[in-house]
Amino acid sequence: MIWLAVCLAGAYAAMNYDFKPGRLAAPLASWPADLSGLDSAMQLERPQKLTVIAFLHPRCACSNATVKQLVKTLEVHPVPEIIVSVYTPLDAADKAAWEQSDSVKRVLEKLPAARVIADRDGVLASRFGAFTSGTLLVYDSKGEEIFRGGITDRRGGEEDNTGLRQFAQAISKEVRVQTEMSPVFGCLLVAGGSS
Amino acid sequence: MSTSRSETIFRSDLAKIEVRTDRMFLWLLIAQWIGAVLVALIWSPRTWIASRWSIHQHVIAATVLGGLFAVYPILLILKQPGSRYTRHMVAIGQMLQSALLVHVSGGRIETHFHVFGSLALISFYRDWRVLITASVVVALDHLALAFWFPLAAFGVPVVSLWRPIEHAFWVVFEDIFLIMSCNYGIRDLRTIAERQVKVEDMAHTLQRTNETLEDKVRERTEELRGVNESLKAYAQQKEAINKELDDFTYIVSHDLKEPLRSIDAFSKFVVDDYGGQLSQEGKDMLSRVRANVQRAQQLIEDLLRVSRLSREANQLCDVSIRQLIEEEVKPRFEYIMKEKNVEIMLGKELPTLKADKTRLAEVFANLISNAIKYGNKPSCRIEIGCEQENGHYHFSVRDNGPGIEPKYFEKIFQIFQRLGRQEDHEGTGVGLTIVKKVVEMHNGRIWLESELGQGTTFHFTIQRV
Repeated sequence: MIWLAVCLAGAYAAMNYDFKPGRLAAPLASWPADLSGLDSAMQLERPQKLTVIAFLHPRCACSNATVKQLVKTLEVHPVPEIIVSVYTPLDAADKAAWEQSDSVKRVLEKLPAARVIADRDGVLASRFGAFTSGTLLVYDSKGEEIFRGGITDRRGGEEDNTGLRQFAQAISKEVRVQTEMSPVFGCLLVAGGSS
Repeated sequence: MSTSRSETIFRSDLAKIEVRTDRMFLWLLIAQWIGAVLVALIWSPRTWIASRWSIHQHVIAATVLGGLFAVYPILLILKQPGSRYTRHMVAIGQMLQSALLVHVSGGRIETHFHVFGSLALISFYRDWRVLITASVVVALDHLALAFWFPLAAFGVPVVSLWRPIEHAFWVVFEDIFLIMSCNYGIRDLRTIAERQVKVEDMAHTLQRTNETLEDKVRERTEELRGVNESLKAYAQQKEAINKELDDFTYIVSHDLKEPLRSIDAFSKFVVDDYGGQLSQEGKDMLSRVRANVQRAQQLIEDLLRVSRLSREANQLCDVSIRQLIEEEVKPRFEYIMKEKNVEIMLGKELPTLKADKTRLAEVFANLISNAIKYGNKPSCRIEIGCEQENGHYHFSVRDNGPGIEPKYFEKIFQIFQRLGRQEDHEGTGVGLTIVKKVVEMHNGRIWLESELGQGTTFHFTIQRV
């Protein structure tokens, strides 16, 4: 009985970690205004067409599932603009290794038109309130945010889930269907945040 | 009795299967633990906060939880292999490891098959109750997700609820067949046990029968050995007696000849020297004395002939029967053959064989002599033939005489036995005795067939050398 109790406790702790979503800020009222101080490579204009912005930590194993789900969905529902913001430490010795990670390569292989931005120290992610790797934002052609959240059901999960369905509906119909943000499961993009 | 024996055998066989399955899970639990750690290290080795990393929770979960799930069942397998409690704990540990594998792989659909594979392995125990325990663990895993983590597991209740129900369906589906398989397995074990009891009983009965047979064979062999010994002793005794008789016959015959010779000689002297002084009656009496003495001498001579047969060994050589009869036997009867119109016909297949030539000539001569002597037809026909049979030659001498009554078939071979009156046919009655003795000395036998008024056929065999 003691053994069973300890097993259950351990299983609960493991599941708790797996299913506890990462930090995600509430939807922004408007396009972030203070992007002007950023590196030119990180400059983002307010979208005038349907746009998907994905925030990824290039070494987060759990976000591989997000990338797979994203590529699979965008192949079915193509989007005019795809931006992939890849966390890169400012003081990284080999920046290319961060920017050209396997997950980024997978995106570019399937979606060659995607624009990859090196997000130095996660500044862009902070501005958009996307503190967890795997966060997706969708903007319609009027520049309004119609989707915010993740498209996996757990860390590294690749099964069908509500977030994924809502994302697919948002990009296919260009409408907001979310009543609340879908959870994001991944590594933190910004130090000091908690997951 | 046989029911309890078969039950004992069944329980023993089942216990062996349970212990064997426990051992299998011992290694499987260890291998799965190591496998889970490797999977976690390969798929999700690190977790990141910006630029800093630490060991991923999955690696810690695989290492700590994997060991935790395996350690208690492993200890039980080592301490109490084959016990019911052990296999239930093994089932729980195995399904927890399945859940862990799904967890560290991020819920990959491929790892869900580990659940189904584990259930199949658990069915090796042939105990459907253990399957239920394992299935309950799977069900609780899904319920835990539903209860503790509904947002991640279900989201919109109506649609997502089908996932655990679908999983449960497949688990129940597999369980139905695995439980059936367990029951079939148990039934087969019982059948095997019953058959084993039957085979053992049959083997036991066979062994007892074998032992009884061996005893009987031993008994009979001893009896036969005894009989054999008796027969040997009897044969030796008979041989000794025969030899004594032969020796006695020879000695007595030989010794009797001298006085008889004297009686005959002196009788002759009386007739020659004093015949003129004797009356006719006296002369007749002396004649009769001489005739009887001569007859006694003839009898003794014949007795000596018979006796000599036993004392002297066969002188074997190649003998052509046709040549023997034509050149050695027929000439003896040349005169009487013309007188009594005798015809001797030889068959086509007369062989050349190894035998005592002189004695064989004696056989044919005596048989032919008897046929002529006792013939009662105007012409006497004698047919001599031979057939080769397994290991010997079968001769036949057939005549067209008066025939012999069956009651005399044995008697005619005895010494000095004759058919008919002394006055009607000459001879002392030793001819067929000599024939029988010569045939027996050639490892053969002699017998006859006869029909009164039609004739007689003498058959004898000579062993092929």
